[in-house]
Amino acid sequence: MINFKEFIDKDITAKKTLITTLPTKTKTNQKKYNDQIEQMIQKYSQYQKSVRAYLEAKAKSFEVLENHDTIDQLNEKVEQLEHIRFLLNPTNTYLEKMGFDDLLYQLNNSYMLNFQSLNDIINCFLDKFELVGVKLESDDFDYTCYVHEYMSSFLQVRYSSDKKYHKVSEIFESIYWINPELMEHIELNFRKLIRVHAKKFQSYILEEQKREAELHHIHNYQDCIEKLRSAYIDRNLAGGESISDIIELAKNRAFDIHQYMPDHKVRIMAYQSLISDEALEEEDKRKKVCETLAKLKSNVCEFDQYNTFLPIFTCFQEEYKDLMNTSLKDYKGLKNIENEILTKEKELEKMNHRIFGSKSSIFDFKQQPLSGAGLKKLKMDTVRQAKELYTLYHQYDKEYFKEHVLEVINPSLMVSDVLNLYYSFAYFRKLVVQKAYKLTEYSEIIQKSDEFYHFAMDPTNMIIAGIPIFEEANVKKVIANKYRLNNIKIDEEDLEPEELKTLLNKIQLILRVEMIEHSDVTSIEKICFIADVTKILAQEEKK
Amino acid sequence: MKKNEEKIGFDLSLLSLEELLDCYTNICDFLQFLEENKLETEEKETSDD
Repeated sequence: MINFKEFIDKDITAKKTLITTLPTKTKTNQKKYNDQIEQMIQKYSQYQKSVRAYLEAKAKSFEVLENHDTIDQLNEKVEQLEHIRFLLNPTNTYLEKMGFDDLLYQLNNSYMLNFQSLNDIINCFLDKFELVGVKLESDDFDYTCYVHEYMSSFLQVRYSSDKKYHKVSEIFESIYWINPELMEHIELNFRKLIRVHAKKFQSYILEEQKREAELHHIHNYQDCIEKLRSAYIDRNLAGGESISDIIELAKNRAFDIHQYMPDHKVRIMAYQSLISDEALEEEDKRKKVCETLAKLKSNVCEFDQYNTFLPIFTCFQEEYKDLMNTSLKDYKGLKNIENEILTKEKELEKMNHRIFGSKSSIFDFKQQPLSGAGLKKLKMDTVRQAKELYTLYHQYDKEYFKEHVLEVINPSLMVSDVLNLYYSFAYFRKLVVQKAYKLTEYSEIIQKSDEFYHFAMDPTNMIIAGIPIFEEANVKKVIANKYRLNNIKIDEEDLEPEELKTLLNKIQLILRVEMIEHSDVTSIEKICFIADVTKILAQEEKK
Repeated sequence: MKKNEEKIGFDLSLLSLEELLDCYTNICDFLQFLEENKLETEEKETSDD
């Protein structure tokens, strides 16, 4: 008895023959011919509909459902521990833990942002002060009379019920042409206020650290790092590619599942290029090879990311290699700038007092002891002084980071140490990203900085702990040698940056094939079928 | 599966996955062939038999 496919093949052949023999000379013949064609179309449309429904149902029956609850819990645990790590980090200070460095960077680059974003940044600053019980008022903004004027208007709107910031933008317009550096001076005012209230921020952070550590039973920073490393490993294991993920990727044509068939040359070559035949002979050996390949994959991904961020490490080398001969004890750069800033700010304060007289109404515009040209000149002097202070503060920033580099710098400094520095200081991370990749678009800087941040914070990174920042290291040789010892066929050429993607694809193929072929819920043939049906249905939908 | 048997008179579960896909492709190709081989109704008049 023939099956449906055999029937269809025979029937199609017969009907095609029939069509070629039907007469079509007369109108009547043509009508009969078309009637025949129409009957065939109706019949075969019915077959098409039935077979399609069957294909869809069959493909759906091969799908594998996954429970994501465990992964969600693991993600939550990682996020909690990362937050605690951020709080307990001994490398940075309250400035970074409060997120002020991030806000200062945004304000610094306010020329790239729109007015609404600027208002949001200022509100964020004010929110952080309120967190520690400090409600800033207009008299706190006394850096220059223009800062005072703008922030008085801003605070009025902030503390009112209707948040009509357009009034503030009008004030901004009126000040801007006299003082285009207004935002820079607002930044300096905030820097000063942060310094003034430093003790409150430090106490707040201490309390947060204690509270979070007790709540999550963390003894100290090192304990947190160890727990975080375990949490990452658990999450990576649980969140690694599952059968369900592979099916989805195959359906979306992220890779060609047909290449995974046993007799496909891509599969054969992938296996032959990485694994010897004898390593696959026994089940135990096969399992060991897969475990080794999974580790290799992780190392190769890490190495690939390291290569991506090489411009940053090069920047660091060039900027700080000369610091190795400087001792932290003798280093006075930061202190000197700090003193210069304090001196200049005292001068600025005196100038402001002269502009507006008594302390109780420091910027009361109705009581001006000076007037006319004298007043105008003094206001311009304060703006000039603020500009000089702005330059000094940015030198201060460089010295601030330099001091932290000095705390760790030595000839054996590793890439992991440099990553820890940039992980700890968001402001300088963004600066180095901007410089290393010559980026000018704010969104691009933030995106790259975030990618770098995630690489820097990963506690499961292993290779970077052994790469020195100031010495040449043949990382490719180190990786290749290690895995050759584990019976993987790999050499340095396989680890060239342009070859890494090929290597990862081969490893991925083998790991997926092994997973599928050891699974009792699916097979490569079934996944091929799902992918083909998905493709067919998608093409028909387009029509 | 029984519905298919009723509609087309065959049990599709007897086909392998590859045969199913080939079968569907052949049906679709034949439908396209039929559409392409329909005659235009306003052809040049010729004498009837």
